[in-house]
Amino acid sequence: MKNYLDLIPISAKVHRRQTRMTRWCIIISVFLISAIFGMADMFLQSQKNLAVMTDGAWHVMFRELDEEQMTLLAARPEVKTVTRYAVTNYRLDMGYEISGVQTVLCGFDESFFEIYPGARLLEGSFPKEAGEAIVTESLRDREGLGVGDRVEVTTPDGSLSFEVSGFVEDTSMLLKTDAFGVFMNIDTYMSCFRDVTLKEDIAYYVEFVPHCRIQKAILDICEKLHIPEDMVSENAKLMGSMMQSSDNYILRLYLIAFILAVLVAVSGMMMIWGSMNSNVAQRTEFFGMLRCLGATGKQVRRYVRMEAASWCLKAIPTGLLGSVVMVWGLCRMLQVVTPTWFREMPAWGISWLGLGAGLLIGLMTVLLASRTPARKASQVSPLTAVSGNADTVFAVKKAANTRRMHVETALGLHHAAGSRKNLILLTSSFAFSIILFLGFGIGVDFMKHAIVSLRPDTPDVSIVSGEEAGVISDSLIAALEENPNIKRVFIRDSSKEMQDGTENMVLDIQLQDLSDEVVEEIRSMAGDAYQFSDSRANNRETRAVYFSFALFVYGFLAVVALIASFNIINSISMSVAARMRQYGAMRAIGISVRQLQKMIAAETFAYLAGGLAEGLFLGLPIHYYLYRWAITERWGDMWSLPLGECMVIGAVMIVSALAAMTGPVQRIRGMSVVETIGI
Amino acid sequence: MEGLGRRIRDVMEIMRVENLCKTYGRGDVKVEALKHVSFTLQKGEFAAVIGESGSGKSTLLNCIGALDEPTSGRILIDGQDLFAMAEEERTIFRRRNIGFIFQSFHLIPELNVEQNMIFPLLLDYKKPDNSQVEEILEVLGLQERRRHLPGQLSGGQQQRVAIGRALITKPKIILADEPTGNLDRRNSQDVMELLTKASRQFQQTILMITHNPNLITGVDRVMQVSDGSVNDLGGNVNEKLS
Repeated sequence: MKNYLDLIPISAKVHRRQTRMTRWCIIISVFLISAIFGMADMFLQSQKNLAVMTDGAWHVMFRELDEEQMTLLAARPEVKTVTRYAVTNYRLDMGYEISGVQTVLCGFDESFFEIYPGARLLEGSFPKEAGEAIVTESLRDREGLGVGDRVEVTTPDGSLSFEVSGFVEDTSMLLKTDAFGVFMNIDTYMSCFRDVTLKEDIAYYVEFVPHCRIQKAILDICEKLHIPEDMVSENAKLMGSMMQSSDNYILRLYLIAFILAVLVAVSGMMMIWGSMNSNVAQRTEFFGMLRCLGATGKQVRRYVRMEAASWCLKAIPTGLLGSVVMVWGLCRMLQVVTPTWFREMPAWGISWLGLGAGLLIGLMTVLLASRTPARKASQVSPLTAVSGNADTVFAVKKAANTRRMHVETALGLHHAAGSRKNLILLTSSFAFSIILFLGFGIGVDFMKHAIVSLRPDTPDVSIVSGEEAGVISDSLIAALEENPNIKRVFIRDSSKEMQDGTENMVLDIQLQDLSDEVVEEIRSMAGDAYQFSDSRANNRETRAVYFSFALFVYGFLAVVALIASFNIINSISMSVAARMRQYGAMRAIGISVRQLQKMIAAETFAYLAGGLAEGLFLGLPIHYYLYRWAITERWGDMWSLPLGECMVIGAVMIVSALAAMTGPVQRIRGMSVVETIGI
Repeated sequence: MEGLGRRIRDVMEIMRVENLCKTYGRGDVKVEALKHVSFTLQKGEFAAVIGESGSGKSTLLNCIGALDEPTSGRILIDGQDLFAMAEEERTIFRRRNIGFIFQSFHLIPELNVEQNMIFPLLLDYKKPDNSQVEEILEVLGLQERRRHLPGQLSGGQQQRVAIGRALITKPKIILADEPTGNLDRRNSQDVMELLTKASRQFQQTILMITHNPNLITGVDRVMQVSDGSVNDLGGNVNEKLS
């Protein structure tokens, strides 16, 4: 030993249990903060990914630009690409057909495939030449086309012929409406369809360079190029997930997320704070002894601070590592369950936001939290330490009331409520869990409102009897029902009378085997007489959106429940550890283990009841306002008491409190009185 | 005559220690803290156990108080074998029949003087007898301070509360472990006077550990522990008193 600070590792060894508890508290707090922020980060990334796949990578779309505006726009430094796009027969009501099947005609620049990674070129190349086109997969399969073949489009004004240069995947919209798609470069398109294209069906998709302040750029562009603001629309999902949205509602969601982030940070801080406080309070005697031996107040402060730093050194990296592993796990789950949609998610992604938040909040809290105990420790008078009264954890000002209750219950309640500061600190940290849980619970409500989940009777494919085809024959229904690849066939009850008096009938089919072959088989069984609708891609999309959202929303709730549970277990354990000598003395005087158990139960009950009351008192109004902002103002649903959430978090807390008592009671049972009180 | 004498002795006998052994550790690190210790105490006797530190006197007291379990041997208090009882039963027996006075008091900081004193009764869910409480408070000179918390008392006062706590159940035996160890001379004297008074006034059996030879002048009997064995130095002081 060269320096008095070398005592730190030695003391850590002697007070192994206490040190371990404090270290665990730091580990778990850092883990929770880092995991929640990391999850939020990954959630935004996944939603951004999903938005790119479903809605495209463009940020803003302009309409009705002239040539000059378009050239000026493309020349701006913050603009990465401008992609021109035009469409005809988008609503399938203009009479463009191939072999009697409604056909959508699009023209766009080659960069369209960059901003729409969801549209994949399967074979061949982009139609660079005039008169060339790429067509959808379903058109290829049904017409038996190859690259270089010609395809004939019937238009209201005669027919047009294109040379096929490649094939592209069907979009979910085309599959659902059972329509074909023919796509060409914008120049070919304009030469053929300029006159029939509606003005609003020509768009200029803009992708900005990374790290651009998009809202500012849009304002500037509109001003300089004299573009009216109603000609601009944002890719809402993408901009929302990039935290760049200007939408009022999404801005409000950011505010809610910010409030929740602050609550998470505060709850982590409170956990570390409480644990450090009790750790130092327990060692008053030790610090008093240091003072006795001649350590100055400053040296004791330095000792406590260095000790805190040494905990950080081990605990913070461990907590951060845990959160990284958890975030990895969630990302893997996303990729395994819905591989096509989250291809772009990094498999071993590291959330710098999460790590930064964990590190910063953890380190700052430990160092700040060590200041109060350091001051307290340096103020311990040598006399207190040696007088035998040093084991009083918190200063007692009033005697317990033993008149109305059994002495063990009275003492237990007094342990909890005797020091108001201790009571407020602990109940508040319990209450925080409830507030957090209710706050994150809004996510579930949001999910239920914003994302339409698949109903149990959602069909994979549907057969619709058209005007000419009449009623679907019983023999077809029977044949479909017997097919082993089909799980279920529903005849939709909502069939309504058509205008011309014929009945419109829908057969909804759920598949056992979702492969293309099975769908083709059904299509050929049904024949050409009926309309066919393939919802598989659409369902996959819905499922991916729902799953990615649910994974994170329930992930957050699970982590918050974990915070609650750990906090309760740790607090009770700390509180008991702090009074172990007192319990030892009581055992010597003749208190039974069962009575001590009752004492701890009373103390736990006081914290729990206080925490529940405080949590609901503060949490319900917060829940009310968050609900109003996130749900009522958007969908109009009125707030109601979140009974489910209250019951879940209440149950988690009660079960944790019960679990929290078993450890300390076991320790008391196995305690050696002689060693504990040092006689 | 001899039979009657033995019967009287049996009636008067409050504690019997038989062949008590206590060893810690095994093999090379084996320490024999107590070696075949046997003795008895009579009702109302005030005995002192003296010995160097590390001689085994604390171990002896801890075993008698059922805080520590002996390796072999028996301890009978009022005819009941301490270690034949189940844990819970022994705890209840302890709070009813054995009073403790520790060197560092071990009062409960959340209870006031009076509550601390009646704590063993409260643990038994018994209502304390007010006149008895008053009597003890008066003897201890703590009437004025009955509502004070331990933190508001001096060391000497705290030890007096601990004595009161040991007396309140009228236990079969009071075990005092260096009761004056943390006190100055004046307070030490006070505490010794109180213990002697308790022994005389309430016919209270007391076994006290001390390493201070000045304290044993007022006791009935002195035993010396050295190297784990007990040597009875006799009860001449008592004879002088009576």
